[in-house]
Amino acid sequence: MTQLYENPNLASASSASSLVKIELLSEPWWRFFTFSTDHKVIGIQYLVTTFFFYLVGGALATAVRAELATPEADFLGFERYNGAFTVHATIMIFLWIVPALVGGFGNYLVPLMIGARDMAFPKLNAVAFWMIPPTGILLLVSLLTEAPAAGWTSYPPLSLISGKLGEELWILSILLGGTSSILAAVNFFVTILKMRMPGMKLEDMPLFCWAMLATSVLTLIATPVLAGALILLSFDLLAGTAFFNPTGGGDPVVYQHMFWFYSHPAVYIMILPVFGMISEILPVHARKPIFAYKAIAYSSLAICFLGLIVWAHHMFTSGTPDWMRVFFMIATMAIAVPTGIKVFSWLATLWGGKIRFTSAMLFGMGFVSMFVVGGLSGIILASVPLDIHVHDTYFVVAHLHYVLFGGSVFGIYAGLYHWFPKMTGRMLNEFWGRVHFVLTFVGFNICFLPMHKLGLMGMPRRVAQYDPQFADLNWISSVGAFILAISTLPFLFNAIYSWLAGPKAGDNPWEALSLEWTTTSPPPHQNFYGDPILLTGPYDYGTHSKETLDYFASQLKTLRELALMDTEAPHS
Amino acid sequence: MQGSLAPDMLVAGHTQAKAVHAEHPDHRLFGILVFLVAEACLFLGLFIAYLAFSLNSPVWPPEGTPERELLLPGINTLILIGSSFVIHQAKPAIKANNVRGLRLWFSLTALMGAIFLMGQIYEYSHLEFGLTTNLFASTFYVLTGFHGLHVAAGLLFILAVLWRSLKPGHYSPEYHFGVEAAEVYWHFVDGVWIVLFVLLYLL
Amino acid sequence: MSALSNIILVGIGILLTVTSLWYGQNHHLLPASAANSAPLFDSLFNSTLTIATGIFLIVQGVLIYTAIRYRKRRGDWGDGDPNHGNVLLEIVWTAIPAVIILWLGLSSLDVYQAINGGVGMGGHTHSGMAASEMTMAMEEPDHGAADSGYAYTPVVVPGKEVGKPELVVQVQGMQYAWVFTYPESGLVAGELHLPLNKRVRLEMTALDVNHAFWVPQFRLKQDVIPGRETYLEFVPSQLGEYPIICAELCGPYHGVMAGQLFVETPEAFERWQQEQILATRPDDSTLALAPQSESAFARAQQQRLGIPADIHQALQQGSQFSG
Ligand code: HEA
Ligand code: HEA
Ligand code: CUA
Ligand SMILES: [Cu+2]
Repeated sequence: MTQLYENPNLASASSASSLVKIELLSEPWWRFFTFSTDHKVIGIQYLVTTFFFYLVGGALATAVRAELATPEADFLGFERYNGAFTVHATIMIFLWIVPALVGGFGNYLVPLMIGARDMAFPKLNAVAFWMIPPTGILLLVSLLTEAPAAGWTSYPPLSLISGKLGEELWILSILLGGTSSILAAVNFFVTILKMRMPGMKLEDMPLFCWAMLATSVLTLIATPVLAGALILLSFDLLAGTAFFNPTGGGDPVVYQHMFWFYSHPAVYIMILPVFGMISEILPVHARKPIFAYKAIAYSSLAICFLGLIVWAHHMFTSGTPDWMRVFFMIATMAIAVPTGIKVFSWLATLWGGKIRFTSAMLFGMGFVSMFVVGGLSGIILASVPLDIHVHDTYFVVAHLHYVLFGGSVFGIYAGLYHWFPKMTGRMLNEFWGRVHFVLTFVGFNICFLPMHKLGLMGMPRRVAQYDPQFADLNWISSVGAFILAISTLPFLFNAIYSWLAGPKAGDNPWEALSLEWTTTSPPPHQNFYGDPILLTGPYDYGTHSKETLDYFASQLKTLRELALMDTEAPHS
Repeated sequence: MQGSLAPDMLVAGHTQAKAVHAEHPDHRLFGILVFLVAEACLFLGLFIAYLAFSLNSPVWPPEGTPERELLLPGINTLILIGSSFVIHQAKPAIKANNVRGLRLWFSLTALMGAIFLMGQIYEYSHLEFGLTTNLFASTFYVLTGFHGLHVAAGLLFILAVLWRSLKPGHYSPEYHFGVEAAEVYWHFVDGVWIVLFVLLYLL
Repeated sequence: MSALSNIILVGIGILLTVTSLWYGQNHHLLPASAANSAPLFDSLFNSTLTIATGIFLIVQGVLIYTAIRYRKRRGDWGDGDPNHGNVLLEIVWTAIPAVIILWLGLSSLDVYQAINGGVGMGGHTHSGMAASEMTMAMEEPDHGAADSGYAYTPVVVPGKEVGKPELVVQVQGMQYAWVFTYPESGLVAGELHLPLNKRVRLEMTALDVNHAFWVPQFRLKQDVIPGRETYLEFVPSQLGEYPIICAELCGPYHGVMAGQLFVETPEAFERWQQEQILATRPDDSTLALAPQSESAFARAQQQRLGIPADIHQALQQGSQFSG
């Protein structure tokens, strides 16, 4: 943990900030409960709120795994089981991954990284955030009533007959969350295109901003279609129309198309920002420039484009016409190419570096390792004949957790360890960070690796009771899930304790070069003391990073003193 | 790679030591346009669903759907399209600092929008099918109703601009974002209606 | 690069290939195969898994290697090598996945068509985008399901012409039970009996919500959807008893909606059919009033599964749509 403080390079930087005794303009705790329009406050609001929901979603997952520890439906029972996994998935996707990545990291980092004072529309930003708590409350209330129990995909006609109230609450919750994410996307799109500091071209942006640009395009195009589907579903549910109800002449498959037109792009909404964060984190801790900047930037756009035209790969067994299956199979597989470009570029970034094994780096490398497993099982799913066998089995459950947990959640943890010092001004404990990583990595693989085999051997998903031949693997998987549940505790306590009483971080504990590290930790309102300065590209490690860092540190010192004099002047 | 040393920026950093809030240009109109892209996707999704329903069923609209009157919706359509031209006159007016003109054109647009909505309500109350009569009827009501809500929102928007224009100097030849935004939104609502009209009445 | 490191590199390459090939053949991840098209699936799966294993090993290998070789050494707070691009390398790692994907796409197409043709046996139907010729699960509107004029275009497999299916079975999925109707004999049964090595066509529909018909040993799955008919065609190739699993969430008891499939010799199949017809003869209603007997089956099924009757009733009521 303390290794970073032994770093001689940091002497100047940390003494610069310790010179200033008064915590200039830092946030008092109650600001986080207000309608603040500061993107940094909003970012942290998102992260804390969504982490809470992660725990709730995780608790539900733990209940699901407890049910599945034995073949009989003896823990939750049939009905409650379906409600549990439905709400588990909905929380994880709509209240954890999407808002944590876009709302949390996106909000906190994008303006800092492009040298802006705030987002383009700060008030809209706050409005979007304050839609999240009601979204969650609606969903939690639905759990208390007759829970929505048709899976997070909520296919009609089943969703029309399993608990009207719960289903409608579920719909309202997602409509609200969807609106929030559309508003956020408008904000990001405009901010990234219009608010970059003078002199910063698109190709000078950190890769995270490219990823956020692609993400907002996906959100803008795809989310409204989900809203459309849910509005129609609501009418079927409440007003007795029959859009998706075959009894009245409707077509349930149309719902599936509309749902996946959003929900496939949604999985890239949930991974592109992580790709961006990994592209930030690996270079800093490997002390090397990112490899193939342009290829990574443009591959985000390629994924964005391809992501919009592959949705029917979730419907290979829905009676989809053959030409569609073939088209969507080829388009889906094509995504391996831009994704591969990223993966190989990350590996090349590590190659020849001087890798500092901070917790952020452990999770970053863990991400690469685990995401690839999920990506490869995705390629198997993309093949029509192979998917016909494994569709709706635990193989899919394994795939989705490898990309969403091994991918998105590992990435979020990497981001939390990396930017926690910037956000709070304090260091997380590195020892407990490592404990957290090991427990997560081990528990994760014990939990989800066996699911591949379960699915291939014949275990369907979404079942509370299963064939006893699958008992052993399921039991192992449940043990893994319990390890995973325990693994969150070291992080939780580490984060809370460090936020309150962790060692001071200094402004740039990782010696990073992107703009957010050239201001104080936490940054002041308006982000920068003077105008932000673009001395180097965000990844110019190994060339003149030493001088640059020293220059930034001394700059920051003087600017801060000047600012301090300014604020004190009226009093004297 | 990117960003070589930029000396002028360095100087700027030195001289502007104080955290001045740089006046940044107004991006609200661009924001509205981006938001309308999302709105367009919402309608596009519904349109495509409608097309899917119609292509999937052997007869469309399903047998037994009562004939629809074309006259009233046709007039209504002309009024709405006309209002787009009317509202377009407002911006030149305010650019010439003619607040009166602005009020005139906006009032006229609001009036036309209100007539459209009233016509819509009239049509609803005289149609021989209800929301749940059949799939066509359901899509008809949901699509036109959803559009009607957007017209109503646009109308409120226009009225809000009118209200503000009563305050002297609120809109000037340079600053009249509300006027532009209301116009853009109104054109959007108008465009959606044209597609809707073709889909629901003509095809 | 020294000769030694070249040798090491080649050695690693060979090791990697051998390991992937070995794992691709010895993964024990699939149940026994019992339909004609299943071996096609298996060989495609094995080769895909081989490639995936190779890519997996490369990525994890590089990660572990860099973690050891390029870790920060004690006291070294310097930066790494400032190299940030290599066009040749980038082209290579774009092109190789593209080629792999192309191969995988084409062989998937091939296998898909052969599975559709149903016979196959490693059969190599030509993959010239004959998508329109594929028949499996082609959707048709519900009306006209009775006449036999389904769109069936024979796929020519070298040396063997595929004709019409030799047995058609109508499959109904309903909440928590499968019902099978043999239109030729009018037999309605709760389990599916099929003769060995005969081409079978299932015409499937659902009565309430979506279900999916899945037999893992056949590697075949198809959603069963209310209001439309979907199809599945295959040739059972191994005698035995196999589970029919509902793979689409269809309500709380989705997990217990199971059926049984018996692949029998044609003689045993005939015998079973006769027995069944005799057993159901007394109430002559099997043919005419199929729906009634369906709910009878459903009830029997419910009892077998121990699902409380009132719950089922509530569900049935729920499925009386208002529209
Ligand atoms: C973060 C979320 C995320 C991500 C990134 C992905 C990524 C991919 N997914 Fe996944 N997917 C989900 C989340 C995600 N998925 C979820 C939640 C479901 C289930 C939904 C439900 O039903 O509930 C699902 C389901 C799903 C299905 C439907 C399965 C079914 O229901 O039958 C399919 C089918 O094609 C699929 C494919 C893919 C593919 C091809 C990728 C690709 O993008 C992966 C690309 C990456 C790689 C391939 C690895 C790196 C590349 C290289 C190292 C280069 C070399 C590689 C090759 C040459 C192969 N996914
Ligand atoms: C980002 C998305 C995400 C994440 C992170 C997870 C995380 C987990 N998931 Fe989830 N899962 C999905 C998305 C996700 N899942 C989706 C989309 C589905 C499909 C649903 C569908 O079919 O509709 C699914 C389905 C799904 C299933 C299949 C259900 C079925 O088909 O029948 C299972 C079964 O094991 C499972 C397990 C788990 C486990 C053990 C975790 C673990 O990683 C969780 C670890 C646990 C914690 C992190 C919580 C620890 C904290 C505590 C225990 C303390 C609690 C305290 C308080 C609340 C105060 N998930
Ligand atoms: Cu029937 Cu699941
Ligand atoms: Cu997908």
